[in-house]
Amino acid sequence: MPSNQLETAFWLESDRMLELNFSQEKLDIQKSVVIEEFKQRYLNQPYGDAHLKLRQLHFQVHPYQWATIGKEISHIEEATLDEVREFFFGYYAPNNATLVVAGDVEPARVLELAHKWFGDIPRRKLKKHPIPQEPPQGEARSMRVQGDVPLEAVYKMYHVPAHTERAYYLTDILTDILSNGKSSRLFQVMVKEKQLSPQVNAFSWGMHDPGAVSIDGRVVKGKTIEAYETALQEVLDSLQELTEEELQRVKNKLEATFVMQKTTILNKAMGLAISDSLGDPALVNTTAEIYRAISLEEVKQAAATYFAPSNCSTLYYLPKNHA
Amino acid sequence: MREQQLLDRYTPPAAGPLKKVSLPPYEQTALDNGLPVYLLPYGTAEVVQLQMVYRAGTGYQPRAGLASYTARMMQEGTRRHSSLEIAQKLDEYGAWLGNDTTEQALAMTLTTLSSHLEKVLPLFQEVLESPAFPEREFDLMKARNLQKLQVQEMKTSFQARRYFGHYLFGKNHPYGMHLGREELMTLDLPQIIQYYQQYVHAGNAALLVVGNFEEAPLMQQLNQLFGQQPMPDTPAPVSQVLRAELVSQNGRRYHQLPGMQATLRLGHLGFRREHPDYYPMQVVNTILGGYFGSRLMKNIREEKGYTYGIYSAWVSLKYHGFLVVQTDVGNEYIEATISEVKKEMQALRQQPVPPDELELVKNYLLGKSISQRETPFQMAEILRASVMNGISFEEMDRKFEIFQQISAEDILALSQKYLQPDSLLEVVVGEMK
Repeated sequence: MPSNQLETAFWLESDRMLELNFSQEKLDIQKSVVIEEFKQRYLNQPYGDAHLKLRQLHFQVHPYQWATIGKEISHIEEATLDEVREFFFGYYAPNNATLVVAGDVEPARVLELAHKWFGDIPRRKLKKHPIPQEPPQGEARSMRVQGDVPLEAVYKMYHVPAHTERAYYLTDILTDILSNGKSSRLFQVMVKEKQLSPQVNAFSWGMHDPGAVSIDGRVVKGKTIEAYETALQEVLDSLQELTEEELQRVKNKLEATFVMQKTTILNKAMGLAISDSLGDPALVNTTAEIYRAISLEEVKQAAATYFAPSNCSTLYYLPKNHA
Repeated sequence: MREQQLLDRYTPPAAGPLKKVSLPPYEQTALDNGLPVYLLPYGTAEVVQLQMVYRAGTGYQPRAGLASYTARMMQEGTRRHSSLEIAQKLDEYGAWLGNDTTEQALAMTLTTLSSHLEKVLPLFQEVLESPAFPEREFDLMKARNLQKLQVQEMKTSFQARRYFGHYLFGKNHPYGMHLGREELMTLDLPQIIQYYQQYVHAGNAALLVVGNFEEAPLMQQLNQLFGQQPMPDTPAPVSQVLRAELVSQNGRRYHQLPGMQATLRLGHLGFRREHPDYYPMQVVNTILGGYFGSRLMKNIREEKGYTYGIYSAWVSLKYHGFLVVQTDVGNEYIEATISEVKKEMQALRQQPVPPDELELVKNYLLGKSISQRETPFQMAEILRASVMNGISFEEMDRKFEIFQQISAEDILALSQKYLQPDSLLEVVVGEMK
């Protein structure tokens, strides 16, 4: 927003934190909106519900097994006003929040406004729900679903460490080696050389607790899932022959990305907020250093550890009437 | 009780005066051979973006897909380097090569840290001037995109966009063409090479440089790389729009596609980008459906709960324009939604906008105009639009005055003149009982 409206933002956000307008009528309409959102995102798109389903296989204990929106429409339909109110007062509290302000502002003025607008909101008794952590998986899991889709697809999720762990960054850089751009291994092998997939992506979910890296791909018509999976495993195994040169290229891309991200105030603010939520606001300035220091041996070790088949959950998405 | 000491939160605080952010000055110069160059230093980050823009965008293509596939194929290998070698060389410097097409422009874009600019520029020149158009790369690209399109074609939103263009402008009109599987199937490499030869050359190009760079050494290098070859003496390209027949149809158009929701695209023709009412109509559109607090969003999402979102846009291209309202709604809400959209368009034609709402929308538009000028990449977009559409920065900055001065009476008159709720094209793609 333009900086002349700084206080307006404080006013709005402080009003929202103080209390929401909890009415049955408002809740009913918002439930209807979110049900339409659920349909639009997950049910009315080919493969739209793949991750909704795979999360449940991958996380059997941790609440990451549900997307924020819920597992199914009934989760939204059945939410009551009391539950919503209780959740709000249990978490949306000044003693459970961090405020980040970035842009064309004077720090002294920001502090003054923060005291003015947030200082009088009472501390709240927070809900202390211990979040159950996912135990090691132990053996490969898989499930099959059928839907109105044109191509077979294979969705894989691997357990990776928490965002606060150094190893998290290793798994993140692995996804770049695998699928960031035309020189990446999955594109070169799966898409171009072997033509097993029109599109295959590896990405990190960026979860705070121990979470997931995904490798999603569709299978070219006429090729088999078995061929796709064998080739994918070969690509993952070949990470043991990763070279310093290739790692350096990926790091150079990351380095440039960091500089480009900092061209927007929003990214600066988000970077600071995420760093704070990880327990160290200074991370916003040192993340680039973490990536720079990553060694070839560490990356190979991480690939062997986290891309083990016993650490993987697979969802096969098959066209309806598939034999 | 503590609560009694709470601050009054009913009255919003007063805002200070809005700082106007004018577009920055740029330098227009030329290389030795006459190739126009626009230099715009911007931002503090050590990055720079170069765009070589050719007047070869989708408005110039005689068939769907030609402009975008020409641009893509330029990245698939040169006479000296394969597509993989190019990608790896760029990675060495953390640089990006991209391409995109708009109605006017076929643009090849190099984005890099300023410190590596000198080293990656020769590769950029190679890609632009000696692409090899390898058959194998084309076949692979086509094959994988046909498979991707097969997925796209199952989406209601994708089909609605296709049919909206077909009915509003005509299937063979450049503004109504659509690239689906059927069209991609018959696209071949000789057509692409011909398009490249005809349109992608120095005589039909301009170079835009935005970000952090040192002008003197850059201009010297640009001259070496791009300024020596003689300019081909070819006439300026003529847009296919000027040759095409525009056949516009309105009324309800159903297309059956099973699913839980339908995509609606409703609209009608508007006017071209150079029209003096372009910015005023942006205000009208914002009120109707151009932002999260719009009338359509308030009514159809926040009061009725029919949809997750509904938006409208007043789009002005070089030669024509159009209004489009788009939303995804549950199949059971199709009729009610269309009827509410028409009501909201009627309301704008019948009653003046209340002062509070007008003030809000003005502030929103002014704030948005400023935040759209934040990064060098956004500035590059603005500069390109200015160069390709012949709209000066002064003219673009005029929107601040227009947004500040527009009145409720103006909006009423504009709505009556341009909004046509009774003759809408209504494309519905979904499951009809």
